[in-house]
Amino acid sequence: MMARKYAGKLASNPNCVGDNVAPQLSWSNAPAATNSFAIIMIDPDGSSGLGSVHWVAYDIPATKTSLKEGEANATGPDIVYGDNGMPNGVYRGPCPPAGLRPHHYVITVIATDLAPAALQPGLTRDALLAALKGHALASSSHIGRYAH
Amino acid sequence: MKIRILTAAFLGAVLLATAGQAADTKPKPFTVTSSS
Repeated sequence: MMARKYAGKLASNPNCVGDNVAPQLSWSNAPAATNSFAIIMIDPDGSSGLGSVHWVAYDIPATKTSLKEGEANATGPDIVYGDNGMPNGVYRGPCPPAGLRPHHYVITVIATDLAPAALQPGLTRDALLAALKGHALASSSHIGRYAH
Repeated sequence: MKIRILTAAFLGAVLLATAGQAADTKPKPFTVTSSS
């Protein structure tokens, strides 16, 4: 189970009972042709099964192989954020309704051959996936479960 | 007979060594981990 600190924090939403700390991530053994990485976090059970997009990030240079805990709570030179409903698109933690079975939060890191500055900020998940078509080299996912 | 056994053992050792080298050269998969 994901720790509560990684869950969303929003005074106006009683389901957001965490601290919204962006989790630490590490990745390794990217293909040699990798020029940048993209990260997507979704909750397939969100919105009653229609899915929720929690995090869209990209243009992360190939030289970077990790994100420290909390690093994706702020903008920075080595990361560009997409559209996830948060100001600046920074990490948006889980806020599932209370009392449900745990939701699954799928964090996928995609190695791409796109240069780090190739994509504009603010892309939706769908727009990012469309832009990555033909440029995705490999991917790996981490799944966290969370309920409260 | 002794020569045949030695030859078979030698060939077996060569095969094992070759298989080991093939396993070593297999690329490691792209992997993401998280402490969350």
